Amino acid sequence: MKPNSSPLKKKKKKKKAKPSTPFPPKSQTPMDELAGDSRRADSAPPLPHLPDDMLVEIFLRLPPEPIHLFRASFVCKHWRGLVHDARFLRRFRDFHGGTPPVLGFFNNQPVSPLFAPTSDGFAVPGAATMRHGEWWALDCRHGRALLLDQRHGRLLVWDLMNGDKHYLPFPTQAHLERVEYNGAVLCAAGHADHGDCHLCPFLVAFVFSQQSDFNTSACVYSSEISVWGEIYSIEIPNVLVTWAPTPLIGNTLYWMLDTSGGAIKNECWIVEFDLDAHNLDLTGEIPYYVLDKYNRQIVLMPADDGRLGFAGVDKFSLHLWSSVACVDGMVTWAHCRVIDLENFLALEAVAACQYVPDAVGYAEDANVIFIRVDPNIYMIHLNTMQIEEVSEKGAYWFVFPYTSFYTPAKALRSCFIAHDCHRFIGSFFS
Amino acid sequence: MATREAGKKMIMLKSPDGMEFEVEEAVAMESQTIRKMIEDDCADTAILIPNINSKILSRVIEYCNKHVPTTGATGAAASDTVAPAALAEDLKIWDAEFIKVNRATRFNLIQAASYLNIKGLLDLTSQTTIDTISDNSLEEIRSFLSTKNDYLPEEEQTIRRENQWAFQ
Repeated sequence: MKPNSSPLKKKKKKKKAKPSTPFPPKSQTPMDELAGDSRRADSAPPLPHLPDDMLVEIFLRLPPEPIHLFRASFVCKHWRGLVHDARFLRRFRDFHGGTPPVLGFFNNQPVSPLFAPTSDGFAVPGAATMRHGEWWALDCRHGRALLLDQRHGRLLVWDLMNGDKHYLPFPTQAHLERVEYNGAVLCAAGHADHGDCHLCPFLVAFVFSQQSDFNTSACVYSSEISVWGEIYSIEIPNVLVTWAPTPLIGNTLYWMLDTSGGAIKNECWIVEFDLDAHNLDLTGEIPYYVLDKYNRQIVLMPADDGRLGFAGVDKFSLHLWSSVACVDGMVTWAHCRVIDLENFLALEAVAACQYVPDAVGYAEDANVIFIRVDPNIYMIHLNTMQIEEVSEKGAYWFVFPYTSFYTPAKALRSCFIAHDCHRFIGSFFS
Repeated sequence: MATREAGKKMIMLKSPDGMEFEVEEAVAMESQTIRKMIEDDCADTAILIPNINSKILSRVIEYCNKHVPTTGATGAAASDTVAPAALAEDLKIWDAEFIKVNRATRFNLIQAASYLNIKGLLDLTSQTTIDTISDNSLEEIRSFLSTKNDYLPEEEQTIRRENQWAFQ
């Protein structure tokens, strides 16, 4: 990124009618580069300062995308103090329903950028120089992304908001030459509100299947003690872990396994890794005839009832399934929700779709599902049933959405944030 | 003073400049602050609304009259035959006209809505200021809201360096 770069543009569609007389001529300062465009405002003389409680009420109503609070914090130090106050930030998250905005997504499609922004006020300049051949996106959660640095054989945990990067070595047993792998990153603090986990310790769960003996193993890295924990293994004949997105439901991670590893081609087994009980176990199977219906492209995600579920698209019908526990310990599946995409998509989008639509990703923290309707990607907000078209087009296979509210950069927050993470790491490393 | 008129319970609101406004209790209770006073039995006599002059208070009452559920601006019961969407559209148009005021009045209305805790009015009156913060240059925001830039150049550089996501 060039230090004096051009401004980010704000979403035009959200603009309201503007006052009719121009602002006083503005004096250009470096900070003005943030501003997208010049607006008109009343020409009346400046008014006295707004009281803080009014300012706070106004700030609360700013859109949830981080750029808006950031701009407010950049106006003057007093405003920064109001915006960076931990109580205010918590109120802001509550005001917006605790649902962080989706800011973009990582993907492993060679012809697409590694990170595609979905919010006008958010960019990841560092990702522009990262090539697909060298980096492999694995997961995003709780304000962090997990990527595989294939050239150096290590993992990267990246906080896109404050720029923090942590590199981790592979677990010693994972030899990249002979394994299929996947992973997940999550906040290690034991709180329910993951709206601001940027300073919390984190865990990385890494799962890998040996091609030689179909042994699938998982282990967890703790940022607090900077070591990998014990390895837990399970042997499931003829299947290897795939690259499909990893859901976290409760404190359990789920991974899909298939005969070929990588993609789902034949059959799909699911393993679960319980972060509390330290147990890697078989969850169940998704039958081939169900997979066939969805062109073998499904996304595991929580169902409405909080159990493990998955999403698949049959023609223009989005199907959400929920798991049902059976007496033998395996799960079976129940159809729980059908969403007719033709009710949400423009007729032209339906007509222009050359390939069958697919579910390609799920933003866990925001409850947003990503659907590819060639050549476009759409985000469906399952809480509000609103649909948004992503400006970046591409034949995405799986996407890993990144969500976050605004958080003050580390150098700025020390005097304002009384961080309240209650740490817990379970007993992995005790 | 709380009275009854045409079967409706009335509440008296007083502004600091001595004006009195008799309003239906349901209208006054659009304000969560007044609702709490009434529910806590603190509203037997006229309620003094501090810091809100009669001009602004009358506009606030006008807003509450329009937005109180089941009654329109004239106090007539809303017709069951009118679709909710049409009512919402009507309110939206009315709100747009209501907020066509100068900046001083708008700021006073924000202050009144904040004190009286009237969410809809606060949303409406603060929207222009929200748009200003969202859509304008920082210098324009400062000019609009009478704020001065007190960041040192080196502090700006630090902020810029630590928030690369906001620059492209």
